[in-house]
Amino acid sequence: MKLLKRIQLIPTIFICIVVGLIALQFFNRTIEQKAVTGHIRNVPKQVQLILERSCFNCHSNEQRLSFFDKIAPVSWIVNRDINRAREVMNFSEWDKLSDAEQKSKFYAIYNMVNAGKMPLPSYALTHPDSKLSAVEVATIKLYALSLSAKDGLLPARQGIANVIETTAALAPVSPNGIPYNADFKNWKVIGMSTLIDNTIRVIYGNDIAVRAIEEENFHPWPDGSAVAKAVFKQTRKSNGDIVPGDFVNMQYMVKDGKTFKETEGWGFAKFNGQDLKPTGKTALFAQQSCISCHRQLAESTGYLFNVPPKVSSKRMIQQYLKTVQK
Amino acid sequence: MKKILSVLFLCSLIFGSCSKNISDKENGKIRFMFEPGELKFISSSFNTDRQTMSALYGNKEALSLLEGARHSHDRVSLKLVTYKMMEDPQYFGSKVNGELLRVETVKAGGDGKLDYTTEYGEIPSGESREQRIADIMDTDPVNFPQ
Repeated sequence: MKLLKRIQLIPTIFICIVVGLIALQFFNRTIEQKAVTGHIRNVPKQVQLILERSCFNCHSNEQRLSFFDKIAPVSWIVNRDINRAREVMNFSEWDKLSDAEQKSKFYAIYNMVNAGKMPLPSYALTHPDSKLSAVEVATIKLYALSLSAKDGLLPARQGIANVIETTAALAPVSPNGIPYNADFKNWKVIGMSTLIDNTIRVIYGNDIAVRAIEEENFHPWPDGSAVAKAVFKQTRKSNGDIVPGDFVNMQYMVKDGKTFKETEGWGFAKFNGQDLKPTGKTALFAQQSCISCHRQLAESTGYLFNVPPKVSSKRMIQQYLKTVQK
Repeated sequence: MKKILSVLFLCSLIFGSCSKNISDKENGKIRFMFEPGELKFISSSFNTDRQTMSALYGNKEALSLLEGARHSHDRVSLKLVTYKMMEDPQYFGSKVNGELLRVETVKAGGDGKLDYTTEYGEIPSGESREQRIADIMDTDPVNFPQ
């Protein structure tokens, strides 16, 4: 008897779900249509096809969404993902990027697909065509490498001579409240790096971050840890050395577990160019861009890209430190 | 059953931690961050032929000398710290500073000239002290927005 009653309820539940879904459609919003300003150029056909099939549905202004993607509540998730994706990288507005940024983006693409972070696993589940094979990931890697071979370097000192020094009455502030902090010049240099896209970088750590590295205490990093990364264009000297040229941007990561809960306790900030223009329109910019790459490093370095590797001889370093302390 | 599981858990903790210590001990490698003392970072460089990365540190007298604001070598103190360049283990396409190779110092001598010494490692083969001083003094400090 009870079973019969339950079976009789099924049509009612079904009708409720259908009515609910129909009601949701009144709150449905279509994705904002944007113009195509400039496509990616001079890319091999096979790379172009991979990007179009796997990335364009989110990272462009040319979506080919299925009927399912356009129905609320799925459409809400799709729209959110597209907005975030466009902010990080937009293949329909590729012309807005400098040559160096275009190269840099391809290394980012390779690192994301190689780590299995892109296409988003949730997206790939419902869009199996977007999945990349090992050969396709290798194709992207080869293309990224081929870009570095084309790198041109500025002649020495040219960039430095053109530097215009800006005087800012107030320190610029990122939308999430992190100010440009010139005190990084007094912090310890914890590393240097170069990305083969015409940049050279110097990474500084404040006392808390340096102590955390020395004590291998960065899982998690203590609150108050801060690192700053200064990014410059490359300049080649006559002796073959490559040195910092024009200033590109200053990047910060500040650990504050309570304030930056949505980004694993790290606050991100980036200040671009000589006028130190902050990146991001709202406080949410780091959720939409920075943290997705940094999450790859959760286990290895606690979300940081530039923890010094364990490669120097302990015995030799201890000997050296004894010598200089005498 | 609970006892057996507890013993197994304890054993895994003990042996797990031992194996890590042994690995670190055998490896004998550490993370190194150069302590410049009173000196400040002036500039960095890398050389793809030599596969090295360097950081130059100096005092304020050294900084103003390299900026061309002064001509006297008085009280000038510089340290050039050179590392092997290595693939970034965290990011394909990036290279980072690896093992420490040498620390070179350039200081004002009593006779108004600059003295050169190596604190760690050896002078690059085929180069004289004068060449090293000239190379180090041919550095432009990095420019940050003010």
